[in-house]
Amino acid sequence: MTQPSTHEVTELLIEWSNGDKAALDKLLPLIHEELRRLARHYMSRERPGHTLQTTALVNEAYIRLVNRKGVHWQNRAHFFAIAAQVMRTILVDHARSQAYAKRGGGAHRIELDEAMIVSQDRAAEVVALDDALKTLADFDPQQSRIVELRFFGGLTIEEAAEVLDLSPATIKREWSTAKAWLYRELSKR
Amino acid sequence: MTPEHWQQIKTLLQSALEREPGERSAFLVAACADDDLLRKEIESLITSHEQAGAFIESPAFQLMAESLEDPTKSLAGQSFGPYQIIRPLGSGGMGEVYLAEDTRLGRKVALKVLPAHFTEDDERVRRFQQEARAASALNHPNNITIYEIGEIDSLHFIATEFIEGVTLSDRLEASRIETYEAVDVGVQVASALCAAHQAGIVHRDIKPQNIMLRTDGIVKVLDFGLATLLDKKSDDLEAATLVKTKQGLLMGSAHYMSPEQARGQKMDARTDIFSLGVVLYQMVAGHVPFTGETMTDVLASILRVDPPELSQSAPQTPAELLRIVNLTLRKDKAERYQTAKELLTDLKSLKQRLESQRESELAVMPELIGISPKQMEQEIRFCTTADGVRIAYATVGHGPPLVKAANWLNHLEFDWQSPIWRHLFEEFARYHLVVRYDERGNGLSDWNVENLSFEAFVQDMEAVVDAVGVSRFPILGISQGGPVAIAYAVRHPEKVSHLILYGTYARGWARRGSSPEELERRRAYLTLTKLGWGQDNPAYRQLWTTLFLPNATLEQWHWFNDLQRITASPENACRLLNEVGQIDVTDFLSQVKVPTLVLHCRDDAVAPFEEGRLIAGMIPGARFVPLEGHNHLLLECEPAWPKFVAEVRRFLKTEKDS
Repeated sequence: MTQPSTHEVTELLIEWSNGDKAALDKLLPLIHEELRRLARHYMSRERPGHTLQTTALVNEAYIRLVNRKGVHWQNRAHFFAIAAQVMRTILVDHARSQAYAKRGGGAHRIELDEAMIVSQDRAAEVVALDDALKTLADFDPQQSRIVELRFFGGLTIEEAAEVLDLSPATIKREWSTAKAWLYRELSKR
Repeated sequence: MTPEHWQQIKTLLQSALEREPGERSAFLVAACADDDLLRKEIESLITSHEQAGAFIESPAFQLMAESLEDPTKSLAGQSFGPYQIIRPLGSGGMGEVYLAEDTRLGRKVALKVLPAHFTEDDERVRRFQQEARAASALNHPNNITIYEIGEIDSLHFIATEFIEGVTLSDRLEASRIETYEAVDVGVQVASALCAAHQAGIVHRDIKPQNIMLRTDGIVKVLDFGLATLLDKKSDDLEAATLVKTKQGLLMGSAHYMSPEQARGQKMDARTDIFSLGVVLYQMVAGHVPFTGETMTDVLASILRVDPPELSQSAPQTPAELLRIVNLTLRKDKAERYQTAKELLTDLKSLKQRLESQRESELAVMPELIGISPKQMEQEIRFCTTADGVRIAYATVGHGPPLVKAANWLNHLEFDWQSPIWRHLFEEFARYHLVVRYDERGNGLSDWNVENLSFEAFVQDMEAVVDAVGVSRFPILGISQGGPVAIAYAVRHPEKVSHLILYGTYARGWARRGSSPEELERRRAYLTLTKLGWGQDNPAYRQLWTTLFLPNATLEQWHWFNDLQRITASPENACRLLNEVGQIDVTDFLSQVKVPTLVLHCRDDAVAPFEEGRLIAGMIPGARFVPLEGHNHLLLECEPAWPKFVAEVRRFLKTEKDS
C-alpha cells in the first residue's frame, strides 16, 4: 500500500468528526496499516531492550499520518479512540493466532511477524480478556470503551477522560470497577 | 447480567470502595437490606478489586512485547552447546521448550531447558537424571524418545524427538473428542504406562499437556521422570500447578492429581492410573471431573467428592467405558485397577468393539435408505422475498429435509449437471430431501437487485425455508454459505438440527487481518473481475478456477470457467466479491447452540484453514475435522472426499440419536 498523504488523512479526520461516517471506513484501513507496520517494526528483534509504550506508538502513527499543526485536538482524541480499537484488533488477532498455534504444529499464518512469538499463556490471556470485554460491553458499553482505551490504546486516565469527555474522577471510578469485574471473570477460567 | 442490574451493583460497589476497608461490611449490610445475593456479589467484586493489583495496568502492547523480551526466551536464534535453537515451542512450570537442531547429527529435536530453581538441589538432580535415563531406555512407541540428558553452562536440559502434532490439551480446547478417539488415546497412554511401570518408573504428572497427538494418530507421552524434580518442596508444586502471569493467576493442572498425591502421600503406579482416568473422563465429558474455584477447592474435591456421572454429560457413552472410568477414579487406590496392564486390556477390547460397530454402521447406511442417483430429478420453483426479489430454489431426493446455504457462484440447473457439485448433491439426496437455492444476483434468481448485502443473503434463505415449509433440518454451509448458515442458525435455533460447515470462514477476506500482500491480491482480483469476467477469452476466469480448484481435471476447469459467466454478471460478481469480503460473523459463533461439524482442507487457498479452526474453536462443542487437500470445493476424485462423506454421515446419524 502506498503511503497516504497526510493531507488525505487530515481531510478524512475532519470529515469524520463532522459526522461523515463513510470517512471512517476510508480512514480505518490507513490507520490499521500504519499501526501494523509500526507494531511489526517495534516488536521485531531489531530493537532489543526497547521499552514499548502504546501511546508512543500511536503518537508516531499519528504524526506520520497527520500534519499535527493543521488538526485540532478534538481530531487527535478521535484518532486515539479509533487507534485503540484498531490496536485491539491487531493484538487480539495476533494473540488468537498464537494461542491457537500448537506446540510443534504445522504451518499457520502468523499475523505480525514470523519472529514475533508471544508466550502462549500471555496470548491466551489477551484473548480471554478480549472475550470478557465483549461481555462487559453488553451491559456497560462505556466501561468497555474505557478499558479498550486504557488497555489496548495505552491511554492514561487523563487522556481517556479527554477522549470520552468525562472527568478523570469518573474514569478512575469506572476503571476500578471494570477491572474488578474483569479480574473475576478471568480468574474463573 | 442486565445493564440495570449492573448499574445497581456498580453504584454500591463504588460507594463501598470509597469507604475505609473496615467500614465496607457495615455499609453493605445496610445498603443491601435483605438482598443477600446482591451483597455477596459486591463482596466478591471487592475481593477481586483487592486481588487485582497490577492486572491490566500495563497496556496490552507492552505486555506482549515484554513477553517477547523475556530473558528465558533469549535462547531463540542462539546456539546452546551443539544445539542450534530455532524457535520456542512452548513453556510450562517445568521450563521452556525449544525446537532446535542437533548440529552433530543434523536432526531436529525438542529441547527442554529446566528452570534453575528446580536444579539447585544436587540430590534431586541426581535422582531426576537417574529416572530420566531409565525412561530413555524405555523405547516404546508411545513414549517420547529421549536423545540426551545433560548440562551446558550450568543449565540442565533434555533433548527429545520433535513431534509434529498438538497436545491433547489443545485438542480438547479446539473441539469435542468422540468416544472412539478418546478410547484410542486411552489405549495408547495406558500402553506407554504399562511399559514404564514394568521398568519401575511412575510418571506422576499425567495430564493432557503431557500427551501429544501426532498428525498420523500416534499418541506420545511426554516428560517421564520430570516429576521427580517436584518432590518435597511444596512451593515448587505450587509453581508447577499455577500458570504464573503478571496480571493474575490461572489454574494449572491440580485437576489431574490422585487423592494420595493431593495428600502428599507415597505414590505408585496406581497414581498414574487415576490421572489417566481423569483424562479419559475429560475427553468423554468435555470437562474435568473434579472442579473448584481455587487449587485448594480442586484438591478437596479430589479427596472427597464423587465426580458427576459421566452419562449426565455424555449420555451416549458405552456402559463399558463408564465402568472403566469409574474404576480408574476410585479414591482408595486398593479399589482401582491395580496395574496399567489390566486397564489396557479393558480399553483395548472396548476399542475393538467400537471399531467393528463403526465399520458396520458406515457400510450399512447408504443401502439402508439410499436411492439410486439415476432416479433423481430436481424440481425448480420460485419464491419472493420481503423486498420483492425472486429466488429460485430446487428440491431433490427423499427423506428428511436438508438445506444448503447458497454460494455466490451457484446456478441450480448448471450445478446439477456439473462435475464439481453433482456428487455432493447426490450424496446428500440419497437420504435427504435436499433444498438448494440461488442467492440473489446469481444463477436463476433475479440479477437486477438493489440490495446485495449479507443481511439480504440471510433473508433469501429465510424466504426459501418458508416457501418449502420445512420446520427442522440440518444446514450445509460451504464457503460463503457458511457465515449465512451460522447467522441463520443463531436466528432460528429451533429450526436447525445440525450445522455442517465445509471450507468456510467467519471473516471475509477483507476482515481477517490479511497481510498487505493478500489484500493487494484480492484487490487485483476485483479489478480483473470488473474487466475480465464477461469476456469470451477465459484467461481471467481460469485464474479464479485455478485458485478454487488447483487439483482438478481439464473438464472440471472448463466447467468452472463457464459457470462463472453463466452464474453472474460482471457487475454483480464485483458487488458480491466486495460484499463477501466484508462478512464478519465472529460475534455470532459463541451463540450457536446447534451441534456443529466443521471440516476444512489444510491447503485451501480461498478460505484459510485458520478460519475453519477459528470457527470450530468458538462454536461451543463444535467438532473439527481437518482434511488433506488443496481444492476449495471438494471433488469426488480426491482422497478427502470419502472421509468427508463418512464424517458427515456419522455426524448426522449420531446427533440425531441423542
